[in-house]
Amino acid sequence: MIELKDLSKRYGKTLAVDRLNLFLERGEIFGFIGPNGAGKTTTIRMMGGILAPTAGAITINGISMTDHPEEAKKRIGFIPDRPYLYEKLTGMEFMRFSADLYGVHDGIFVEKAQELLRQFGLFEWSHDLIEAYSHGMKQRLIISAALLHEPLVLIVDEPMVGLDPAAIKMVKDILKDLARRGTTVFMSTHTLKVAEDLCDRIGVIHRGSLIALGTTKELKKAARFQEADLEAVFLRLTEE
Amino acid sequence: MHDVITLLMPRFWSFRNGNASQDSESRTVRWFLFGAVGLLFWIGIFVVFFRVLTYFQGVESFGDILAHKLLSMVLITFFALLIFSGIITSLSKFYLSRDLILVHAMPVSASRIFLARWLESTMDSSWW
Repeated sequence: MIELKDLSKRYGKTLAVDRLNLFLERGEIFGFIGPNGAGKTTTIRMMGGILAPTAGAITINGISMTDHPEEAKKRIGFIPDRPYLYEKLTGMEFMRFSADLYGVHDGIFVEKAQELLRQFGLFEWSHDLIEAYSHGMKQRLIISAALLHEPLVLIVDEPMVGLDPAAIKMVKDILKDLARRGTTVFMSTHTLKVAEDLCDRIGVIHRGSLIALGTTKELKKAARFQEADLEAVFLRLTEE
Repeated sequence: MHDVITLLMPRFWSFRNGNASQDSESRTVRWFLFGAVGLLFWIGIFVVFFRVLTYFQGVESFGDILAHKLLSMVLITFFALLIFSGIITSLSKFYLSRDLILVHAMPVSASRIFLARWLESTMDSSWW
């Protein structure tokens, strides 16, 4: 469903991502963890078609991001780490804006938007201006908008930042449900507990290179830390 | 073209919502205040130019040339200011807008994003 082949990104002399190779199956939840500046956000932005890679290829559901970026992006729901929302729009207007660009038909838009806003607890505020929303509400709105066109692939950068425990549980349940229905989820996170609870496989990136890949159990084995939690494994793998 | 219009829609909706969120009294006061300042400025410019050009007309033999030179200089100055304003607005619209990541993640070609930004820049830098 998602294939990264020898993906590299260089900013001047800095190599942010170094020959990253990954293959994600349909319905898989993949966690991407690493210290600050490891290359997570750069990788995610390349996968979302926002940054062009210096070398390598990204394929989404068999479509090359380089050759057919619009087609590839139509299959992606992208949730950035610091989402921007137009503050003077209402929640419903933002959903309309997103739907129009993703080609969601008018006939199903209202029903679909209302369903998602209800699911994320935003329906009551759907006609209020976004400037009045809390950070958590904005985060939930951007997730709702990303799911509006029923993407095959969901790319999420730090999904739980700013959410309260109830909202974290809600998002976790929704991600699990999406994966069960065949959506591939690629998620970058600093919250290792979330990665441990949610992800089928985890990749650890450090200084632009993928240094470990596997299930939590496999990572513990690789770090020779069978009894430890993911945090200890992560610290062992990324220590200098 | 549909995508370009859609990319411009948040601007129109924001403008409409911004107006709607103010009460009608403060909206009227604001429009009246800005209208009055604009009108006074326009009248002032007209009076000054009228007096200067009338004076030039009175100067024998080269009054017309003086008026022509003055108007050329004014035009060049305004044109230079317009270009400067256009450069500043374009640079911020194309490279510094906070919604760039959002729109580039959408399935819209870079050329349509460019066209929408260019239309916005033209509007903002020329008369907005």
